[in-house]
Amino acid sequence: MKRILYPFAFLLFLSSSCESYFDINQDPSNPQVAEGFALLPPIFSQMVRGDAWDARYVGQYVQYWGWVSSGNSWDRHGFAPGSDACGEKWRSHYWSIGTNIDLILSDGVTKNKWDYVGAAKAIRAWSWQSTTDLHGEMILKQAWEPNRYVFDYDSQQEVYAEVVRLSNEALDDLNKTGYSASLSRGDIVYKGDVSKWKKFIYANLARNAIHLSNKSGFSPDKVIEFVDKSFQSNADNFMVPHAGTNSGDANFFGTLRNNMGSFVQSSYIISLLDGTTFSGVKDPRLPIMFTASPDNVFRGVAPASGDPNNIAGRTNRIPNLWGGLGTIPPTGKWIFSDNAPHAILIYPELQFIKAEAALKKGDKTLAYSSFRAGVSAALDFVGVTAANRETYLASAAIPKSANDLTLSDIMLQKYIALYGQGALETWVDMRRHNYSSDIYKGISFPTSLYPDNSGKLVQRVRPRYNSEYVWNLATLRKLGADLPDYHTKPLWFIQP
Amino acid sequence: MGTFDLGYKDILFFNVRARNDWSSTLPTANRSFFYPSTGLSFIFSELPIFNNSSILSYGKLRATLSQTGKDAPPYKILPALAPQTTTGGGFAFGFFGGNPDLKPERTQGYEFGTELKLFKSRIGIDFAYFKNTRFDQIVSQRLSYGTGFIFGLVNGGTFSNQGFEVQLSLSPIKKSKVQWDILLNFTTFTTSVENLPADQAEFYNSDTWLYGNARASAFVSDLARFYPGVNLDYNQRGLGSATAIGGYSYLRNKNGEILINPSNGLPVINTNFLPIGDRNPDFTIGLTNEFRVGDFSLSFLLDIRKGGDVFNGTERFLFQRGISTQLQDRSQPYIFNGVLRDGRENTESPTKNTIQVTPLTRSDFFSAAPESDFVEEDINWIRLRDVSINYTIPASVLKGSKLFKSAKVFVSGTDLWLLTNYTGADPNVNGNSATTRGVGAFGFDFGTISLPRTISGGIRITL
Repeated sequence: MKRILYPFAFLLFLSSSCESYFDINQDPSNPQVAEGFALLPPIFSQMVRGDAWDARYVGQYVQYWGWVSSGNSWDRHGFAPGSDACGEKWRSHYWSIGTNIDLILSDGVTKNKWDYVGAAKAIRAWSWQSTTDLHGEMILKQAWEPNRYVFDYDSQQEVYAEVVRLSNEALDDLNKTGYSASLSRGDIVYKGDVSKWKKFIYANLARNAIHLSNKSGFSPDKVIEFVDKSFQSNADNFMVPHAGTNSGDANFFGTLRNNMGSFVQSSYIISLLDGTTFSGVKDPRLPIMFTASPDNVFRGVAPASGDPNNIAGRTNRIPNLWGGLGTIPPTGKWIFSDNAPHAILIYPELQFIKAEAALKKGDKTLAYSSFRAGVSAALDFVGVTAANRETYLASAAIPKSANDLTLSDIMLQKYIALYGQGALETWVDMRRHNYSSDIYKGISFPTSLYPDNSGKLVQRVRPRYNSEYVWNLATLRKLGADLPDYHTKPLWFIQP
Repeated sequence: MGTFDLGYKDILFFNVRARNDWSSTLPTANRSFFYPSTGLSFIFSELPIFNNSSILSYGKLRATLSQTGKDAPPYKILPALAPQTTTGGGFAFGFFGGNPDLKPERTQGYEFGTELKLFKSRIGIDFAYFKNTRFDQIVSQRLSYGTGFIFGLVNGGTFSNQGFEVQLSLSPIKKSKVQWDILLNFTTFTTSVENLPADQAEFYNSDTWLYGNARASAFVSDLARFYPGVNLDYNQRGLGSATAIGGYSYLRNKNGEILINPSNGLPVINTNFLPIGDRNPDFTIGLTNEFRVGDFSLSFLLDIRKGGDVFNGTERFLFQRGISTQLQDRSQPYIFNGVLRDGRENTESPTKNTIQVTPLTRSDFFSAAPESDFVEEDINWIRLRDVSINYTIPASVLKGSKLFKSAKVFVSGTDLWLLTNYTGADPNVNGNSATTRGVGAFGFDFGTISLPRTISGGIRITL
């Protein structure tokens, strides 16, 4: 017989009746939801951060500026392997702007804040547009999907279509009435002016449309329509303000952030302003935008050559973009100062877009009037006096009649107008026009290009290294993004 | 929670435990989790045939089978917003993503063992074999920014931990005036990686990334799947291990020859973090001997380790600055043994490198060697962890004093002696403190000084 010594059982069941007691997943020290007014200002800053950060590198591709010493990889249309350099827009698109937009949308849709909803969608549409123009294929359909860790890429064509879809949705939201508008609270750009947001959406759509100028289905009329519904003057420009009191709230290009210490103005931009290209006409923008060497001559670096006179005491030494000679001056200048606003999209650009579209359509009169409006507004944008503006408009730099206007005139004036902050858009233009020296008169590219280029000029930037090359490599291989010359593969938008 | 225990005649014991937790740190749908365990022990020395055995004093066999669950750290389901210092202030999401579908982390495993006492407990043996598998681990994993964050929070990764421990106690001499006791602990185990979160090739602990490009990593065993066309023959140490060193190594051709950059004569570095070592030792032994003769006693502990790699970051630091003793004649031109990466490196006739590099005029020479060159393999040691001599003052001496009940005089020394094949200061290093999660940074030497020799002495009295 078996003798059971001590059978002992003890059972306790905790009832699960206290449902709400367990719902304490809200962090008491850090908020996990917020309203649009608290989310918008950092989003504006991140729009700038992505644009400005990557403009430093793209500014070398388009020869806005060059590295002060010779042989720089970016000057040579190369890249930095194993680095996040020029991956800042990727970061801001997916993360720092990223799902903050969704938070505004979910709050706005539930509480009828359609002004916030429309503005948030407008920003996301802009971000898709400007990021795909840099990288091409992107994670679109699977973006921000919870619990996913391998992400497929979608074609640039689909990203372009998403920009249009999202823009139309944003316009519908902004056209809604019968709710109490409150956007002015967080909107440090347009102060809650919904009509300006709508113009911004059309401005972005105008970019989306003109980028397809090489395609057979390109419609100049659509471009002109978008431009006409967009900015009417510089007062409509999308300008992100900077307090400029410390490195946290200062302009990326300013002295406090100290991001531009090794960059100097290019010889190409100087040649467009000092009369070399435009029949000896001295551009009134030259002394505002740039600084002369101690001997009072304006100079710039040829790409990848550096400044051979970058030595203390040389009178032909090229100053940095703040105007200092190898040093950081107390204040910068123009867009290179701490409290200068950052231009995301400006009226002059749209007039040049319209001029290009009109020229393509064969309407030279319209092209000419838009061109003149663009140049005039671009001079104002830099801060030229009215008298100097009129002198320049009447000078030999400007074609005398509609019949004299060439595509090169438009693109060169657009190149000057977008200097610095508009580097990404200028790169779109240069790629669309195949880096042609017939259009970009006087330009020459480094004879010694980056070794992996096999003699080809750069066409795209790789997706961010620490996001994609480290954590999503299998997908990149399908695109050929692991190949050494991937950055010379043309994007969809420039192809016929 | 529920438990059920059953015993039979002090011979056989059986228990079942079942537990259900509800955790507020998990999403509502997944917050309830149940985990049981069961154990069986059989004290066979109680069987009648051993009743009068002079050999076996105690004998037990035991086996347990268990499962446990672990919840998430608090406030992780939703991502947190952080205040911003950019113009206009406001809030934005931080680096870490949430996960509305998070599940509890699980471990399941078994252990069996035996406990024996022989010859009136003069010999004791305790043996245990264990295997645990941890799965659905909750980790913040760096992922594609397509997640919307820099770090995604995911369930994933299966690690299994297996090995055995033996504890042996011996009393070769056991008399009233003279006694000798030996205690030996032998441990060996490995932590292998079955898969990693988010189907990644490597998981690393950023806290252990102390210097250069070497860090404590876990690697899957089918690494070749992630690096098609890359020669991984020299990246086998640490493959499939949770205690690997992940770091930079040489890029090689299909024959394993090091590729040399034709423009400067320096080796090409493979900048993928690949396994370059495994820090896990083959085994460790702790051996204590204690002798007692009359009122004197002497004890010492020997700490023995066999195998396990150490990253000598200190040496790399010194080498990069040209102050390592490894290279003393800098004027001597050097030719790296390898083949040029000139497009022919994977053909039948690669170009042998003949480019001379003179360290004296080439500072890049000193940074050319990847971290894999600074991993010292199979580091063994025997160290005298501590020694102590005690003298107990006989009670007869203290008799006259009314103050003291007992008194002891002792001298002890720690870390007095070390024998090792490691070239650095001390291979018993941990680059982090004990608070670092995971297996920590043991085997990472960067500026770590060896343990000091300490000698102390004193008197212990009881009043």
